[in-house]
Amino acid sequence: MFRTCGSLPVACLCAAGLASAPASAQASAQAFLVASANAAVTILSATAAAQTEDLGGDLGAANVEGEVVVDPAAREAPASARKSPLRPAAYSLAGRKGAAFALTLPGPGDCVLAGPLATIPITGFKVSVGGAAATATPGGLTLDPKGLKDFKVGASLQVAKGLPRSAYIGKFKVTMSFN
Amino acid sequence: MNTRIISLGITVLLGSVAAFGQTTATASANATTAIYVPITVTKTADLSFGDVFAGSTSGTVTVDPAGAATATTGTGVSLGVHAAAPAAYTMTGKDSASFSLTLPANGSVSMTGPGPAIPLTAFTAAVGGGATTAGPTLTAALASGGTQTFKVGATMTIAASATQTQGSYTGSFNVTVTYN
Repeated sequence: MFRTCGSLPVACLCAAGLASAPASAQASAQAFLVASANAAVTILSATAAAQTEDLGGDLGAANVEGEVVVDPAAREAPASARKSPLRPAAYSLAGRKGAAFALTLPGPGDCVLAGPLATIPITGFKVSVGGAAATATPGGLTLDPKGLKDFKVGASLQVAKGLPRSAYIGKFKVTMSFN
Repeated sequence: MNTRIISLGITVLLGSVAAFGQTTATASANATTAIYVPITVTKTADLSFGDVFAGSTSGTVTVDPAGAATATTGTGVSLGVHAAAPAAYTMTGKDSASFSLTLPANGSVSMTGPGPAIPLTAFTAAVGGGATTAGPTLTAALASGGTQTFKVGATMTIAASATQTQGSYTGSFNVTVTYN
């Protein structure tokens, strides 16, 4: 009446005469097991650019006149230690690892800050990529091994003498081209 | 008629005597059975294709369960910051028992998200840190301690970037282990 099985649970239980419905169900449950897993992916666009800071700030009550240079390579420092109270614009790029890209800065006359009674021309746009020295002609740019790169853009404000205190606003474009 | 009745009575009597003669006999028999440990499988990591940049054409990304570099096809299809990784499992069961591992069939699993569904095909597995073996069914054995590990990879097919909307895509799949 007793038999020794060479195979495993299902066959053994049936051969021993335990093939009633509940026993069969139990045997099946022990004979195989299913494990579920998730699969996931994040599809990214070819490139993504985000502006994280505007160029500008508060010139305050100082009798500023002439050229005010905003150096994009200047490190953050207490306001009292800064040569200019203005900060550069900041951007972050994301894309393919090591992807080459080019930056095009505004040219002379491309940007003027407008106030209620006067304007402030902006010239001499420069960029600092990844903390490198400022340049008006960036080249040989690539995203880092993680596919990221930050850069800052500064310029020179031509502030006329006796400019009325007010808010002066303008826009400029920086173009990023990926090869 | 009477003669037949008497003969039958004698026969019964002799049979009874014979039965009394075996009252001290002993017969032994062996009882054997085999107890097996239920097979179990537990997922320890999900299958991730990481970050992928869609290209100018459709393409594929293949995650290898044995640890080979993630492969891509298609113009411009490339990998992002977050790396891909195979699904991982642990098993327990009978020492050294042979088992079958059944992976999803082609066309049975896809990941869904903001754009066209991303089908998964060509599921593969690497058991115990061994070489990659193609599915959908493969045979392996538990180790002498009754444990085993395996990883599962697959290939996903994405459309060109103009069609494959960026965003997160997810899906789920089953693997089945059974004693042989």
